[in-house]
Amino acid sequence: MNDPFDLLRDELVRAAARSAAPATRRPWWVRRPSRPLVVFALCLFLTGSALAARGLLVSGAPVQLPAGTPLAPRSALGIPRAGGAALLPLRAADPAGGPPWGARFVATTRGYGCLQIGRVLRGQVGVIGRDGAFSDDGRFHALPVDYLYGPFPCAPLDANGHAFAGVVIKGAPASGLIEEDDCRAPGRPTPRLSSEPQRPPCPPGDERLLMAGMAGPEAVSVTYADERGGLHTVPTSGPDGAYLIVVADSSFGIEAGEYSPLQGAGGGTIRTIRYSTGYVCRLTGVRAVGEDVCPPIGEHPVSEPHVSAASLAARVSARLREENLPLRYRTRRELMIVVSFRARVAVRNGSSQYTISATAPGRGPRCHYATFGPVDRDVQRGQIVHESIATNGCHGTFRIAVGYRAGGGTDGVPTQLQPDGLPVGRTAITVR
Amino acid sequence: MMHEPGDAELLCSGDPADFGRFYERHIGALIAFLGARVRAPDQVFDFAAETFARALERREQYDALRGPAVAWLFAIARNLIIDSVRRARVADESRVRLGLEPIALDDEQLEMIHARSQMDLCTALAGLAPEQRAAVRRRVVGEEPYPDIAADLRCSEQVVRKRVSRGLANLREALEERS
Repeated sequence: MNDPFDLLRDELVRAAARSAAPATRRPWWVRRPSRPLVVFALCLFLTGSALAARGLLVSGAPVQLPAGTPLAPRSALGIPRAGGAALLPLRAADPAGGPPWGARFVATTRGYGCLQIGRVLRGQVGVIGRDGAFSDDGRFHALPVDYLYGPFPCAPLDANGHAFAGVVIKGAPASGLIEEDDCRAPGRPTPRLSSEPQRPPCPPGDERLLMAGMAGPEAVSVTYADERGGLHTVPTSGPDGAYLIVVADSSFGIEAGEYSPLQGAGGGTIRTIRYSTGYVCRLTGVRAVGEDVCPPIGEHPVSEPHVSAASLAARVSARLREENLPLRYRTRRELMIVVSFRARVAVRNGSSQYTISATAPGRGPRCHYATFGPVDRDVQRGQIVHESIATNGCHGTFRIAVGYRAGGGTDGVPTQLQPDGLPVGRTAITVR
Repeated sequence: MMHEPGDAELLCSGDPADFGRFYERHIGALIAFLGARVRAPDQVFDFAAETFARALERREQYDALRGPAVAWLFAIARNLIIDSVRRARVADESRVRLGLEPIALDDEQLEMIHARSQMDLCTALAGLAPEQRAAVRRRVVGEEPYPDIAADLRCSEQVVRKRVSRGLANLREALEERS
């Protein structure tokens, strides 16, 4: 019997031999448009830019946090600390004109420093109603200070109140609303099998590559490469050495809309970061995906009390319970494993956390892999902590380990993937 | 040591055999991807054939800087599946344009395709750390929304996004390391 895939390979190789190397073909949206279209588009662009430049963009309703987003001072990032938010003088022109991009530094109740990114108009950070946002109403919608939902760079503050973090966002829409609720990148279809609602494609040319972050108090300038490889240098802004780079970008295909939170400044097409000390951090990261970052120059770590494994050790238990698991568009009834343990060391901010990892048994589509997640909230000493893990229809013995990480320091949101902290305890439970 | 070219190199090469090598490198992952979505083995084969035919036609559009070739192939395949629902048939335009001969499949061959399409994607994506493999599989292959994955895994969207991003980067690195 002939392997059909071998036959297919042979057919393809023959076809490759027949077909001369095709001429480089530009996508339709970058082909030369007709002259009337150019004139019309130019008129639209000039009108829009002129209105925006004169600050005539009408304001609309502020951006709302997605329903169900917790705004709790003692969990996740927390909420903005009173007096802890300031608009930075940082500005980056959008390749298509209109209000520039800018950033606001926000210090939170859980000890994080975040850089809230958006378009800036009349002293406010916000988004523009386009690319599917706000039904394309063309208005300016302010981002509330407590809107930390976006893919903004956030990290625990050091002893001097500085944060060191970065983000690279591929295929961000020009609207400035960087979520999954807006339009989808051209070429990226809405999944047929997913419960996501259908979304329209973004207008071609509305995709941006965003690189933003806080390089630290000593950082002076950031040099990056544009789409054609040309190098540009921008100064940092504010006491945290903040930077924001916006580059026109075509579709990133399957990676459009993805973003990489970084544990420092850099990534993307950033090539060097210069510091007042004379040190130059040179990055060789892979373009667009690179996570190559600079060290936290000028960091003053927060002193953490010594915690030993013996002082953490606690009995860990697990039981099964059915729960309603809220997903974005629906709620699923799910058999959950409730993991419980007594916290013998308190967690008072984002620089330390308990972690729970579980190895799911079985052979289902969501089985046979490790789950790892933080207990993303403050915990009092002596408190019984309960966390639930979805069984995802897997059957067999789940092996569960609880750990503790401290001194996450200022290297970004403590989202390390490996449970590399101190052990608290282990347990196992069988799902039949 | 013999130089093993990367995906972009294979696609840009004028040597037809290099496209065959590119095909060999990714057919396993693509069949697994299709097998998770398409039940009938003849359709799995049809989609695989048209995906590679399109990749051959558009090989100069592949940009290694924008992600691993396997993700590019998945995107093409996904487009084809969506398109097939609208048109009630599997597209064959690229195969027709390239003059690919139809391959008739007998029962034994259909069995073989079925067996291969049931391959665990973990095998196809082997080499990734478990949590990255899970995130890539659910987001890139399973196309689940981030909040759903985050809810399941009991971690923040940021954690899931990071795992996907790192998983894709590692996938690409792994492919580059082969060269």
